[in-house]
Amino acid sequence: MNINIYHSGSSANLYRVSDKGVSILIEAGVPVKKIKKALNYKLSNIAGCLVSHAHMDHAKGLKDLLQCGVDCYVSPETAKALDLSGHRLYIIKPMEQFKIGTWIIKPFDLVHDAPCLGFLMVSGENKVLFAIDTNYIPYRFRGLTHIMLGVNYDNEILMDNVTLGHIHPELTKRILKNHMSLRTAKNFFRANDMSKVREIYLLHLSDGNSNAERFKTEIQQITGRPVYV
Amino acid sequence: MSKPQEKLPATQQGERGLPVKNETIDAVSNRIKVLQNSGELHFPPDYSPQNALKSAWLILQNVVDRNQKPALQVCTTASIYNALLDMVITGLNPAKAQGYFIVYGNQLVFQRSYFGTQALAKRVNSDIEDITAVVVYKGDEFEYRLSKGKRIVSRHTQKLENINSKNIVAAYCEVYNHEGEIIASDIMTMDEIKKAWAMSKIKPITEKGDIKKGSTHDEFTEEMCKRTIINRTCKPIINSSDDKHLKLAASRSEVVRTENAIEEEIEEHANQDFIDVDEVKETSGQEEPREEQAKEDTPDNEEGTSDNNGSGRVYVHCENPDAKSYFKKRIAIEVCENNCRFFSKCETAQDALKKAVAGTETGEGEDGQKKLGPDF
Repeated sequence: MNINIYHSGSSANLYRVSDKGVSILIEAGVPVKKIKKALNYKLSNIAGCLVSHAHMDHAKGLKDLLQCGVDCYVSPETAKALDLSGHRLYIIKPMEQFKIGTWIIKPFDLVHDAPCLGFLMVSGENKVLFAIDTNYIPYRFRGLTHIMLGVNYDNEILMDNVTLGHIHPELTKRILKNHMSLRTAKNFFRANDMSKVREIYLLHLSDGNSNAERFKTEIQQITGRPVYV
Repeated sequence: MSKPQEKLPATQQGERGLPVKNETIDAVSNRIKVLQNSGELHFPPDYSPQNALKSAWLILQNVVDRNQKPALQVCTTASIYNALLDMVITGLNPAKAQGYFIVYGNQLVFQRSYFGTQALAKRVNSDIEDITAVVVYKGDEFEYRLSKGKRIVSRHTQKLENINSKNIVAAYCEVYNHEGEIIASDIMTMDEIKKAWAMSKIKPITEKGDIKKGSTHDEFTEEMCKRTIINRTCKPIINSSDDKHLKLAASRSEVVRTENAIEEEIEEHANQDFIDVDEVKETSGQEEPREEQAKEDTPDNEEGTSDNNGSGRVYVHCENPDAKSYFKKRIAIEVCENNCRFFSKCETAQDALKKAVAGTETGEGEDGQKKLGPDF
């Protein structure tokens, strides 16, 4: 079981989860050229690509990836927004699980300003949660082994930036509504069973409104598990 | 950095034991002076920051949160400082009902009233002489025209007997300059007004879309309509200011309110029901019932073709538009022990699959990872 973080943040996202030789890309937020480079030009080893939503930092390379012959799995809303089609395109819906190789994947709804999916992925003993670009997680999970969670800002840093005039109030409201705060993330970790968790990845940290070291330390304190930012 | 407010020593006590001067007030005054001296902040000649701060401090003594706890005890010093600073920078005075203080969690905010909104619009745009709001009732003669993207009322006559707060159909606001010309104008229908109210935190609108009985919006419907249309008309004027301090001060209360509303939503909806993947049977056990199902289905018009891309994976293309597959037209079947996903119940497709599999049986699966299932 392997997790690779190639790109993470507000400008580009690209991740890979693989188990027993079945590799799944999650998000395609960089041009396909960069995806190939990240994968060492072995695109054929990818069994499929899941994309959470239609925003460019998550789907920029999606169209070309379909052209390159990679099976891509997106929600109907994402397919429509990006005008996707083709025989490599698979439409997935929340709560309707499907299989890619050894992976059983159940998508579920998240809270964002574009329809956005999270993924619960199971392969053998591994149970991975992937949720990014969401205000909070509506659900709870049992027996997760790996958590990949988008945590964007800290309320205090964000409000300080508003007061100092570093960030526009309207943008602030958008961030508040559509991304996860450290506070919400901590409550998520408290609400879920952490007994089997082996690794936690914090994704999509904001450049100006977060503090990677502090996020890492505080979540490690709550969960007692290794946290990677 | 934010100490609880009660720990701040009041440097001077008023006659009734109220702290009339305080470190927070001093800090705000100092900040204002810095901004004034650097030329970043200008006040109208009739505005005295010191007087406004004194009034605010007295009013703050009586502000409580929703648990009836004094604001000065529950709010952070930083938020009190910011609320007072917002008030002074926008040049408003709570003693003139231009705004009031509200507690959200441990945050104090200065919430502009619609009197304050009018005063601020006048300050941002010195051409403004007057801002009026009028309510339109059923039976009024009312006409409007569109001009340069603005909705401008061209005729409105009213009879006394039309006036009935249950029969409001619209409200409009007109902004006049010193020459008496309309420089800004907007109209909202009662529907639009109600929609705006439905967003309000105190929820004066029922789920059916009616005004809640006994609410302020029910008892003073006209006044609330005027307030809503004035706010809407003045907001773009205030936002068009190029004074960054003023713009920030004018909008920060909204950010805090948004933050608070979101916190409440998160508390209510986050981390609720458990979800998990459904149990999946082993592939070998799955084949037989699928074969049976396939026989029961009698698709009447379909064709199946297949191809093998050489990677050990077989694709079956089913042309039947009614194919009961999850992904109607294309059914991908991985030839491996682990799964055959999205398998169609369509007989032709299955036949095509068998043929395709027969073709691959002689071939070599890539990396040895993908082998043929026992049933194939």
